[in-house]
Amino acid sequence: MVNKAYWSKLELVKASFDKSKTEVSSGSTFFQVTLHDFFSVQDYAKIKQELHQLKFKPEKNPLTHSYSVGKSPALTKLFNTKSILEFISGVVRKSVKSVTAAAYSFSGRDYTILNDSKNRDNTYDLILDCTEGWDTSWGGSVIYVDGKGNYFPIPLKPNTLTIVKRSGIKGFVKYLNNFAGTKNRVIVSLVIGPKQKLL
Amino acid sequence: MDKFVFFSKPFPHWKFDNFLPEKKAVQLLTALSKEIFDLKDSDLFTFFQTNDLKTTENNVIQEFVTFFSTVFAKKLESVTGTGIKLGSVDISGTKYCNTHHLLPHDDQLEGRKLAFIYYLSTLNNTEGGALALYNSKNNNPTEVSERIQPQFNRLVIFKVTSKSFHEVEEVLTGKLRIALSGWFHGK
Repeated sequence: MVNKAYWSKLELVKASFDKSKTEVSSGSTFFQVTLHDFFSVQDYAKIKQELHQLKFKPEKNPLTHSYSVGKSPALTKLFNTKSILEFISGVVRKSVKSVTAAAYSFSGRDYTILNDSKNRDNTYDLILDCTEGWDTSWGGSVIYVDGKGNYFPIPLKPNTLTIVKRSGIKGFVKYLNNFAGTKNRVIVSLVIGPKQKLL
Repeated sequence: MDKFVFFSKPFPHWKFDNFLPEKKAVQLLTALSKEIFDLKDSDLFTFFQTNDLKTTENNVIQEFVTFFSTVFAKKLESVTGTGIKLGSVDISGTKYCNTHHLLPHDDQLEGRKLAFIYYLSTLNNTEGGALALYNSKNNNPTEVSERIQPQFNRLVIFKVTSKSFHEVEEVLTGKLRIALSGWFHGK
């Protein structure tokens, strides 16, 4: 279940998303809203438990990405509740009938590179951070760029859902360096509809 | 200068150890340390880099750039069989600290014929910073075929092609990986 505090402030969240243009000298806009403590404690614990049980499969194309990905019907089911879908629909102002979930695990030397091959303008990225105690100096930040030299990192905090509207921006996950040691960073990507793709 | 050592795989490259007389190499390193290095940080890399050294006012570096882009470039043409525009080279200083890296790419950009890295510090294989050369299939990198460790006064040259996939592996130590790097262009 979505944190009750957000339900009572849905109009504020919507307004925040609409107004979250990060105005910079170039005139770029970055539509995003970051929702800390998005799930109730119990539901976040369920998500964490499901992530624990997932089998992650390494994927690597040196030119584009290196990470491990885990998917399961049970994980996707956790996010396809009436409460969550209605909340997301409210924020993005369109009817969302389902989302597909995939978990991405990044450990030392993993990364994604900006991908120019697909235009994903006017789609939405929904990213749930599921990593406790992460330090930005280890890499692993999700960062959006507008091609004009502006960088928009999204906050690193567990149980935080960030919704980003693709509007002339692309994203990447910064290389995880040796400071991360043996720790890994897990994020869940929710895609509206059945298609799967991280950033 | 030691002999040019040629390697055909995974793509044509050459290694020259003891490239300059040691005293000259040390002078160059000292001169480079006075240049300004700016942090370059993106999805693909993190490291410090100088401006193009063709514009430096430092005499030691100027002398090296002139030698490298004329006398040495002429020799390089005959060794590599690659036509090079003499007197024209893109060259900058790079400084990699702990965690810095440059992820896999092929260097292809219009006009680039030969890429070079001239190391001014040494890192052993537990300290990272290696130049990793990739095998490729259908013009896509597959796995690392060779690693060349930074060694003081070592020059590495490779042909820039659709198969020249390489990376600078992460530096894993507090020691700096210092080098001059850039490209020779075609005529």
